[in-house]
Order: sequence, then C-alpha cells, then structure tokens
Amino acid sequence: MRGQDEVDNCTPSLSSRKQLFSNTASRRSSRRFTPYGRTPKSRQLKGKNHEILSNGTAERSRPRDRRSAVETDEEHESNLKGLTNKSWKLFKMTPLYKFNTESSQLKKYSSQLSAHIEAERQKGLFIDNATSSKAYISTYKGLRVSAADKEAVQILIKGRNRGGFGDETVLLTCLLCSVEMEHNPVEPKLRDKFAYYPLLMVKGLVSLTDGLITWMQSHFDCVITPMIFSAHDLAWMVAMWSGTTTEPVHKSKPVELLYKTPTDCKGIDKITFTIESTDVKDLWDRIHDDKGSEFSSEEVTMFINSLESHFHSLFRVKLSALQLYSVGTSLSYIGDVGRLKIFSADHVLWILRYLTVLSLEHFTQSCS
Amino acid sequence: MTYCYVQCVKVSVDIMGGEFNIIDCISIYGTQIQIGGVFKRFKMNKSPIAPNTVKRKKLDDALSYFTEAREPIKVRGNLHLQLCLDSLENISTTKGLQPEHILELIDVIGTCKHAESISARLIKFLIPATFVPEKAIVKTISYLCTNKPSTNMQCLLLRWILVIYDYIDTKDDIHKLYGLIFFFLDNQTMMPYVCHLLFLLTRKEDVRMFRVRKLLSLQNRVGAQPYLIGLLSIYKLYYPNLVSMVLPKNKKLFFPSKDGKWKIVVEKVQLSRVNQNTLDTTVASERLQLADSSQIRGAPRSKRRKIDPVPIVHSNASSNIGNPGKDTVEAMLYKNKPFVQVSDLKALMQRPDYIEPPSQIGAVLRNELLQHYMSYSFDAVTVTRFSYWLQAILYEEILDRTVTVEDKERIDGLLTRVVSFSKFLQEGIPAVDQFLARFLHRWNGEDFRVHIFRLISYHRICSFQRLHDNILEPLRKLYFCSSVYFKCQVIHCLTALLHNLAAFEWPRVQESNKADEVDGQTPSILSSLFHEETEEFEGVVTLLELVRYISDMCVLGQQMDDSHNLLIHINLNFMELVASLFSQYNIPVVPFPVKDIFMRPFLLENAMGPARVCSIITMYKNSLELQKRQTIGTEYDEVINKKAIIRKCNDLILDVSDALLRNRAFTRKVDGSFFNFNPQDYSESLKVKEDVFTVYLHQAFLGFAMKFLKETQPIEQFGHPRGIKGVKETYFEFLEREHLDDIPKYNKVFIRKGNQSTTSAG
Repeated sequence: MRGQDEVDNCTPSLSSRKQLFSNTASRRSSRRFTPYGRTPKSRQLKGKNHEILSNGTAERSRPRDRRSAVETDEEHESNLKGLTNKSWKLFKMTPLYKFNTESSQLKKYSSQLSAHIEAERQKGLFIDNATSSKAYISTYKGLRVSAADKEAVQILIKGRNRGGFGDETVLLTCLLCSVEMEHNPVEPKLRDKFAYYPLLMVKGLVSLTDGLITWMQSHFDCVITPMIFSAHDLAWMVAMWSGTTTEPVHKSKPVELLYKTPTDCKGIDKITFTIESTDVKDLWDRIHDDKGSEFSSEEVTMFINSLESHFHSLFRVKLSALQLYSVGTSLSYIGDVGRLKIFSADHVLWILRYLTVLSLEHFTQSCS
Repeated sequence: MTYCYVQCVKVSVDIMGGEFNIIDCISIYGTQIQIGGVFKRFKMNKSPIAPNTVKRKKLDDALSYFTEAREPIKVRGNLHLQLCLDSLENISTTKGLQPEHILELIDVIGTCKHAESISARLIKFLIPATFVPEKAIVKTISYLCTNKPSTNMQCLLLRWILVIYDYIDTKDDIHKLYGLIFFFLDNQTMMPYVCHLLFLLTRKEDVRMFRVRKLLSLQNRVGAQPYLIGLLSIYKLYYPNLVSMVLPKNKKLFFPSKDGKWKIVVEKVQLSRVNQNTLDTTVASERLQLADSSQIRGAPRSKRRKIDPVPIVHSNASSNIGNPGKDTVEAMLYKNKPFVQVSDLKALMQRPDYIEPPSQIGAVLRNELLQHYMSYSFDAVTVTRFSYWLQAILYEEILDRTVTVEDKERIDGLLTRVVSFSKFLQEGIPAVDQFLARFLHRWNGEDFRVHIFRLISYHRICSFQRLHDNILEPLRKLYFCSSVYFKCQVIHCLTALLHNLAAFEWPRVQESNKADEVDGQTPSILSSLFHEETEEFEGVVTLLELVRYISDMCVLGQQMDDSHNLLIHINLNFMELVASLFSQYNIPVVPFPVKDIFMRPFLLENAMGPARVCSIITMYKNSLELQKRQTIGTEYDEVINKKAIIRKCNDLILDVSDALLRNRAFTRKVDGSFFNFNPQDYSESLKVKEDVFTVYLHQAFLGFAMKFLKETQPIEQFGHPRGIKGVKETYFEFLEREHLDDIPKYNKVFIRKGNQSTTSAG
C-alpha cells in the first residue's frame, strides 16, 4: 500500500492520534488513493531469469543421466516451438479452485472434460453430429521460470473426421500458463486451494472454446474473460520488441502498426503503417540504451513519437489522435482483442512473460 | 374563400406585375396566415405543364440513360449521370417505382455493366410504388448465381429483397428456388442475409435432414451465431425430431436489421400512396396487416447478448477432487453433502459443517439459503472464491467495456442481487468497494444510480483519506454540477453511509480490536466475513471527518440552490443523525457539524426548518449532558475538543433563543453569532427590528400566527401578530396542535420562566 508511511503514524498512542486528527484536513488536498494502477516507469525487456532457465532445467534433470538432460532440453525447445505460428486467442483467469497438476488428477479432468463435450454434443449445442472428440490434459514443460509459476498445462481436444475414419485431428489446443510471475497474488495460506494461471491461450473452433470455458468456469469456480490490450499496452509491445530479431535484420518481417480511424471518416476504416525492419532497427538502436535489460517509458514515448511524427511529415496524418489496435513485429503479432501470433521460438518466453505481467497487473489491481 | 383570394392576387399581379407586391396585396385583406397557401396555389396555376408529366418524363429519361447505355458509364465528372441519379432518387423516395421499372433496373444492376458505385445506388432506389413483381426477385437470384456481381453487391441485393419482402406480390416461384438459395450459405459474408431469407421462405417440406446437418456443420465453423440459431429454430418448429439441439430459451432477435432507414423510406412511399387513395380499403387493410407482421418480426426486442452472469446452484459429480487420498470407507463416513441436496433451513442446520458449497460460489447471490450458509460457515476459502468471482464479474460486466442499452437490464439484475446480499450480511463487500473506487471516477451520475447509491451506503469503514479519495471526491464533483434532486440523493446516500458506519461498521471494528487482544476467539455475531488487510486507522476520526465533509457539502448546496425545501429536509435528516450518534449508536464523542449548517434551515420559509433546528438543538443538549455525566475523560479527549463543541453549541442556543423567543435577535454582539451584523450596513431602509424572527413574526410562522388570530380573535378586531406576545402559552398550545411541538419543547427546556433567561448546555 502506498500509505505505508501513514501506517506508522497510526499507532494508537494519544499524541500521534491528535496529530493524525489535526493533519487530516490539510491532507485532503493531496490524493493518496487512486483506483488506477500505474504503469511502471520501466519494464524488463527479457526477463530477469531468462538465462537461469537453462540452469534450472539442468538442475531438475541432474539425477538422470546426461542423455535424458539433453532430451528434456530438446523437449522444452520443441515445446516452445510448438507455440509459434499459431493464432492464439488470449484470456485472463481468476485463480482456479482445487486445481491440481498431479498426473492422476489431470487424467481425471480429461475424462470429465471429454464427458462434458460429449454431453454438449448430444445436446447438439456445438459439435457437428458426426464428430466425436476426446480431451487430453497434460503438463507442458518449459514455460515455468520463477518459483511463483505453476507448471503450464495443456489441453488438447482431438476428434475424428466425419464417420470415424481417418486419424484424429486436433480440434482445439489450449494452454494455461504463467511465465516468470513475480509473486503469487493468492494469500499464502490459501495457496494449496487455488492455482493461479494468469494466461489462458486457446486455438480452436469457437464453439468448442465456449464449451471449454464453460466447463472450466463451472469446475474450478473461476471467471475467464478475454484479454483486451489498450493502445498503451500495444505501444509498449511494439517499442520493446521491434528492435530484437533473430534472423539477420534485412530478412525479418517488417514492423506494422494498425490504427483505427474514427467512425466519422467515411470510406476509410484503418491505417496500416508498415516500416522496414532495418529502418526500425536503426531507430531503435539510437533510442534504446543497449546496456540495460530494461526498457523505460521515455524510450517507448520517444520511439512511438518519432514514428508518428515521421508519418505526419509524410502524409499529414496525426496518428497519435487515432487508436492503435494492432501491432506486428518480427517476434509476434498482437491485436487489441487478445489475438496473438508468435513467430520466433526464441522469444516465446519474453512475450509470454510480458503478457503474464499485464494479466497479473489487472488482477492485483482489481483485488488489492 | 380561398378561391376569392386567388382571384384577387391574380388581378393584383396583372396590375402591378411583380412578385414583391403580391404579399402586400394580400396583406390588404388582413389575413397573413393565408399567404403561404395562396402563394403556392398561385404558382401551381402558373406552371404550364402538370408536374406529374414532368416527373414521368424525367424518370423515363433517367431510366433509358441506364438501360440504353452500351458502354460502361463513366463515373467521374459525369454530370448527366449525377442528374439522372438525383432525379431517380427523388422520384423513387417520394412516389416509388412501377413494377416494370424495377424489372428494367434489375437488369441494369445484375449485368454489372456499370461501376459498382452506380449499381449500389440504384439498388437503394428500388422502392416499389405498389408492389414488387415476383419475377424481379427470381431475376435477382439468377443474377446472383452468375457470380458476376461482387460479394458486396450480392449482399446488397439480398438486403434489398429482405427490405421489400413484404411487398412481393406472390412468393411461390421464389420458394421453388429454396434449394438454390440454400447454397449461398457457404459464403460467410452473405450468411446472415441468406439465413434471414430462408427463415422467411421456409415451409414444412423444406426441412430436410441434409440441410440440418449442413447448418450444424456451419455452426460448428462459425460458432452459435444468432442467425443460424434463428434458422435452426424454425426448422425445429416443424420437425423437432430432426433438430435435437437445445435452443436458448430467452427469445432473441435473430436477424437484427441494419436497414431500418431504408425500410422506413419504403413504408413511407407505400403510406403516401395509400393516403392518396384512401378509398382503396383493401390496400389499407393490407397495409395494416403488413404493419402488424413487421411489428412481430422487426420490432427490436431487448437483445440479451449474454446470459445472466450469476451462475445457478450446482454441484459437480466430481466434488471430491480436493481429497483424493481418502479411501472409500472414510469418504463414506465423512461424506460431505453437496449443497444442491439441502432443501431448507432445517436441513442446513442439521449438519452444517458437512455441507459442501456449490461448484460456483457466485450462486450465493441467487440463493438465500446459501447466503445463510456462507455467513454461518465463515470459511475463508469460500469467501475468497466469492471475492475473486465478484470482482471479475463486476469488472467484466461494467468496467472493462462500454455498457449498452441491452446490457442494462442484466447488470441491473446483478447489482440488485449484490445490494441485497450486502443488506443481508449487514456489511460491505471489499470487492464491491474496490469496484466503486474505480467506477465512481468515470460515473456519469446516471447509470444504475439507485444501485450505486445503495452500494456506497454499504461501504466498509476505512481511513478517511481512503474514503475521501475513492468515494467522496468523485461524488463531490458530481454533486456540485447537478440538479438539486441529485444533490438530495447524494446527501441522502452519504447520510445512509454515515448511519451504516456508525451502526454496523464501528461496532465491528471495536469487536475485532477486542478479538485481537484475546486470541483464538470464535467469531461473534459482529465479526466480519471478509478478511481484509487494511492500513491502520481510527474509526472515530473517519466518522468525525465524514460528518464535517458532509456538512460542508450541505452548506454549499443550500447556498447554491437557495434553500431548496427538499434539500433542507434531507440536510436536517443528516443533522438529526449526527445529533443522535452519541446517544443512539454509542459513538464515544459528540460530533458537531459546522454551525453554518443551521442558518438556512432556521430562516426557511417553511416551519419545518426552525422547528427541526430546535429539536436538533434539544438533542445536542441531552447528548452533551449525558456525556458530561458518563465520562470522566476518555482516550478520545485528545481527538475532539469537547469544550469548543460546548461553546459552539451554547452560541447556537443563544442565537436561536434570542431570535425566536426573546425578541432580541440583534442585541448580542459576539463573534460567531448569526446576527452579529447591522442590517443598515446593507441597506439604509432596513431597520433593526429585534423581534423580526420571533415565533409569531418569523416568515415561517406568519401563517400559523394568522390562523391563531383567526381562531381566537373576532373578525373585526383582528390585531397585529405582535399581540401574541402576551398570550405565548396559548400560542404554544396552538402550535402543539399544529404538530410543531418542537418549539414549545425547546421553550420548556431552554427558557426559564419569569426572567426569560437562557439555560445553556453542558
């Protein structure tokens, strides 16, 4: 709480109480309690423990022989790779009640979810009558970074094609994860009852997604709501990530900013601002101080402002007056209604870490 | 009569030969009102060709321009095109087009000879004067099949069909195309319109298994869209066995139309035609039917986009998830009873500790029994679940999006439930307070006002600074820029808040302080259900500061709205509550609002003001005396200056007694006295009249004095109210009969008989 200094004054001794009373009138003028969370002055660019991850995995696999350690690493890598080049829809969640990641429990959940889908199917709510499907729930290694993180959980719903022929195809992929959460917002004594995953990523049929969310909400007494990014959040993302590329700069994808125009402007509904990645990299290098692992809000403002003023000098359109609703960098593509596509497997953790931070901020703000 | 005027005008024009003089001429006849009518008539008579023929000519020209063009028409800078389009628009939106014209234009549009922008405009002009021939629709659909028009144009054509659907003469041939139209469903953009059209066309024989299957697979692809559900619902109506899905029970608007304006134009054209030949009763009755049917289908019903956010009470079969280790015997022994099986309070009380709360705790807002259970069980986990849920729901429903009209009903329902749960618990919910802190800063003072005020009044006790920043500050902003009625609501709400803090929250804080001293106590009836980590604060300080804050707002409000009677009434309610805080609610101090708050009520033109001021003063006297007797000195002596309060109170007593009862309002010249000024400083004509506010000359009491005189004096010797001075006792009896017994009581308490001196409090 920001009023920490006040707390000390409030000890129930008589003199301080008098002081407290006489002070209150003068304190009215300055606000100490604001309902709004503040964006930190700077944000971690990569995540503090990014390097630790590999050590951590090595530690975990120490009892095993060398070969298996290599295998786990490979497994993690392929797991991270598995998240790329898919269009995810992002949700945020309140803590799940009585959710357990033991494998026996997960198996149980799988059968329950399968049954739920089957029931919904028979009701005819969302599944084509011909498809039968089954759910598989398992842990998904490689995303856990900090101690507060829970092991990520993957939910797959697979179904056969019409008539039951052919191989099973994945109808829905879903991932519950938390990447490098700084602290667990759940009260310590209740932590064994609640599992908190800030992020839920889903890719699959709309109707199945609805079904899955209903099931989770009713089974783990949580509320799942789409993640919505403000233009401000998106500006941070594009500023932080547009300078980082894995491939040689000239090959990588251009940086893209999409702006919504007001409804009064007839005949034009969006402005797409695409910049070659080499140019952006040049600008980014000039603005960002390469030594620090943090990215400051001044840098963000400067970066966005310089892009927008460049656009203004060319086209006389003030982009700052429009609403930024979608950004694309060489690492990822993110839209304001919680659409996400990651391109680079090396940066999966960066991106998910930042999304975790955003979701956690929203949650703690509302529950503080 | 009118005819006569026209004659005159004609003559006068002949003579003077100028338009300007016409009006002069008419004004000679002295009827200005007729000018417009006469003038028009004159103009019409003057035109050599009837306007109808002109219009027809223009229409023919315009149509032939489009039909006979061999090459695609140039759009840019083409004046002729513009003129044709304008005249076409003019005619179609006023008179409508004849069936044969519609057919011609459909050909022009369907062949896509011209630019899309032209075709799009032309479609908009396809407004029937009488009816649309069925052939036109069949033609349209066949053009759709050619795939020449772009998807946008196809959509527009479909929308046109939907707009004029009611004016198609017969529909049998269209119906034959049902299977064909069904194929258009594959185009996702056109899907909503196609569904609507099919919905209108569907007959029993059209419902086939393969179509149902197709629709279900589409639904699988695009989700449960209302238009698909709409179409499926009519299928289900015919063959419930084929469509086994469960349809949402709440009635939805399946096909929201974007073409409301277009439809209105079509209806207007039809209406004007019907008005023209009102004798044509068949058409009129048809129109009535149409209006009826359009009301049934097209009336925008409240669209419930989302379902009620409060879940129903249910328990999952897998409720033993949490304790997997238990073997079956043990599980049977300690078998928890799911809450769904608890039917009444008696069952609840039998083994309350073995009842398992439902899977979704949010259901507590729905179920009174569950509320009893929750407030009894005091389970931290359950409470945390509820807090998480409520917080997320309030954010999701209200804060994180713009609330539309459709949402209002649902959110109203949610807030009503929250309010009644708060009322049941007799305490505020932390999650709600968090929500309010966020919401009030962007509140327009309008949305959900009743509920918001109720929720504010249940706010939990906290430091004043916090209360001020989160609740009072946003309310203050709204207060000072709103009408007097809103001001009344704010003060009323804050009075309720003060009452809540004094009656429920303050004792709870006391209790928890005591419980902290003695550890391990079982929760008493006063303990809070919610465990909240708050900063330390002094409850009494919060109360005192709140009183001061509200009274400041009251004083300013009284000035702004010039002593509005309703506002004063609400203010007096607040003052009465403050005066009774010590005696009624055991608050250890006697808070005294700013003295100015008494001024305007005392000088009100309504006897309620001074009478209630008197009663409040009496209450203060009692409280202060009680305090003097009870306490020798508490820990709160430091917080509040008792002597200053007694001094202020005595000041007030003297002021009121001097003015009201002792005929010497302006005598006492002390700082802080209401009447410590010379009226002549303001205006020479004002004289110092010491008895101007006495109980029989005060503006609020003049009416009563008059009534009193009427009753007691003979009508011819009415006398001046000053005469009452001699018979005060009788007058007081009269006031008592008029339900103004506060004044005589005040007199009894404060004025000693004989020497007319004042007793002061404390």
